[in-house]
Amino acid sequence: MTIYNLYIFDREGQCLYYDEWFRTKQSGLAPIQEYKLVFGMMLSMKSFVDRLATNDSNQTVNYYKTSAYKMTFLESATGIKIILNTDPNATGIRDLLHRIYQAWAETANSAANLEMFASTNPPNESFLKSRVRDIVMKHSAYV
Amino acid sequence: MTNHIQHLFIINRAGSLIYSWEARIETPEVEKTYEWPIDVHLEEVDQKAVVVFGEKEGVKLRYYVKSVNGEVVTGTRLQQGALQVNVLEYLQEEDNYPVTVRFAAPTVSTNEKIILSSMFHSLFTIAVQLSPCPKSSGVEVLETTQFKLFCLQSRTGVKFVVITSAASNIAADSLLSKMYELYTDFALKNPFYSIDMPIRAQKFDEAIKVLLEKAEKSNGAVTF
Repeated sequence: MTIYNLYIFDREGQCLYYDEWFRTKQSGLAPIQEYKLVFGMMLSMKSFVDRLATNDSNQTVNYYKTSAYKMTFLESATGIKIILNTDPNATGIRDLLHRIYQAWAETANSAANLEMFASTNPPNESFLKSRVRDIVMKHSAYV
Repeated sequence: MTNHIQHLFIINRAGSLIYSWEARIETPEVEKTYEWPIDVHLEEVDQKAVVVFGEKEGVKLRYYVKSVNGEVVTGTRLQQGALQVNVLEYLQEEDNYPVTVRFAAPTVSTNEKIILSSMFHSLFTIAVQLSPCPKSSGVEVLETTQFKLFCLQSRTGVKFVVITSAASNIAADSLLSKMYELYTDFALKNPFYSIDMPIRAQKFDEAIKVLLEKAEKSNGAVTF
């Protein structure tokens, strides 16, 4: 099992954080273009499932799976979107995403960082990076 | 026993819908009489007057206005004598109250199914491009809190899609390959069928129906 890569987006679709571990294939796009594509696909997928399901209005996409990877989604109430690519058979990913979100929230909401996230640069802050890496590498799906 | 299989689509290699099947579910409807002013907020969504805020007493979000005072609403148009009026405007006029409005739960129209098919076709392709590792297929399983979608793409690029409820544990693999088999038997071998066109064959409809009943009973394990 493997964990491939991680994207964190704000609610406007700005990629705030990106990290990768065992990614073996690049998409062939510039990073910014790739982030846009990931975010755009997630939005289309949301609209797709909303149109398809008719019974209730509250619905979230959990994940999709292909023959080679699994993309798991988590959206917070504030619109922060966390997307993680793993091996299709990885388990406990939802829980991992919650922990990443928690680390994110704690880092991002400390007063010293508020200004940092207002800027347009994606904050590849080393502190956040070390925390996220720590969480991901300790997970059982990370080999 | 409740049926878990909700939808079935066959999408051709260009992304258009060539076959669809839908479980018959009765859509709930609610009728209510309102005094001025109406306390649900309606907006036009996909050419229907849809509840976007203020769900209560059985009128839920995404329900649409089906009829007003017994008069059927087509899209957002309401026939008033010789005139056609916009139902949203009609419900803004105090003079028209009290008014009896019939709401119906959302359904997926044929038109929407066609849109959804081409949407899925592009999502499938993007999923291949965004793969972090080589030789990935497109979306095979998509799971939300409400349903599970399973997709099989044949060598020739035809996609078979099955949508089941989230609670089901139907293994769709054998169901999908059986569908593929039926497609080759009843559509491709039909001398009157032209490739990539919608499938209209009674034998195919019947075979699909039998297959789905079987799958529903055996939790998706369809033997060959």
